Amino acid sequence: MIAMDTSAVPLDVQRDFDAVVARLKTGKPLDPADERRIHERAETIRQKLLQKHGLQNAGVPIIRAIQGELPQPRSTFYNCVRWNERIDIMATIASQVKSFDGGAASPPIANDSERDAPIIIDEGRGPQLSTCRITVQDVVPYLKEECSNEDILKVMPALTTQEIQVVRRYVQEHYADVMAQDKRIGETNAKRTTSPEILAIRKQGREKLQAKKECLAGKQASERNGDNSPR
Amino acid sequence: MITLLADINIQGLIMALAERLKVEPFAGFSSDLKLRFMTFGEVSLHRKSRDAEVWQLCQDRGLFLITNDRNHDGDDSLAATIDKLGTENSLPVFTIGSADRLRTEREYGMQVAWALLEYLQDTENIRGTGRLFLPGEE
Repeated sequence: MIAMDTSAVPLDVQRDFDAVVARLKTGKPLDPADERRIHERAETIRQKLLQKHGLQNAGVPIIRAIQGELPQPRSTFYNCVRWNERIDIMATIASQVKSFDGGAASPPIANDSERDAPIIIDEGRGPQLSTCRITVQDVVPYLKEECSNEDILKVMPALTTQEIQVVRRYVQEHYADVMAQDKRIGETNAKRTTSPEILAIRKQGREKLQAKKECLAGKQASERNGDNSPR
Repeated sequence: MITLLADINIQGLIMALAERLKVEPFAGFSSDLKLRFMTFGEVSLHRKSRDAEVWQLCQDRGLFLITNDRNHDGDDSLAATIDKLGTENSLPVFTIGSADRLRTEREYGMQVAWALLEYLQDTENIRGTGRLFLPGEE
């Protein structure tokens, strides 16, 4: 059981926490702005906890405290659609919990499979995979074209199919926000102009390239005419 | 020798571009510049590396990063890194305007290849330019 002292919790944090709990209980979607703020705050908290304590094996006790014993097999649980929210709520709770039954925290663990399970985070480049620098928006053009995982892997062979699935799920769950961002990217790109200095640099490069082309064409003509023998 | 580092968000397309540059009409010019393309793995960069780390490694090892541009310009972004750390001697970052068009449109791929070759004709001249878009305006 988790002992909590919520007296010092700021009102906005408490409201967000209640909203997440209501979301888990009822399935009713969160307001997108609230959801984004909660994710951002949770990620900040997660990073602080990781810096301060390293990776802890407190996740399962926290989830069991929230939900009781898991009704599903472990593999199904780890593939659960709401995994991101579970991570967020754990981080939010962990920031508020004063003590766990059992006292001192366990030592950091080095479990690759847990550490590498991909989730979507935001470190300032927009939503991205926690396990890889590829962002959701990097993948969006291919999802819009209904590309298969194999097609996406041809563009980004560093991805795993698990990571692609995480991105697909995120896009499904945040469709309006993701598409709005995609539209903004398109608009920004359409407005982009090249400075006169860069245009001048490129013009010089083109002229050099043209001179090389002519030189190459001249050489090839000479070779065809048999003029390449030493004199 | 000119070495370009393919960002992992576009690695497959850049390796396809590298193959295209080995054949006509580009082969002679690529060979003249001694172009070489590398991946994150080949330069020991982790797939999770941050923009600043990638950019700094490129500067330290004289690599031209080639990437796409669909990210926020937050504090940890490539744009912010270039603004913060870039100098007049820094190597630029090549940025594909539309990775998806590079994947699907042959003519767009040709434009990207020519633009890259044009910019690389004088690598000293493009230092300090920050970000160069491909194919960009002519």
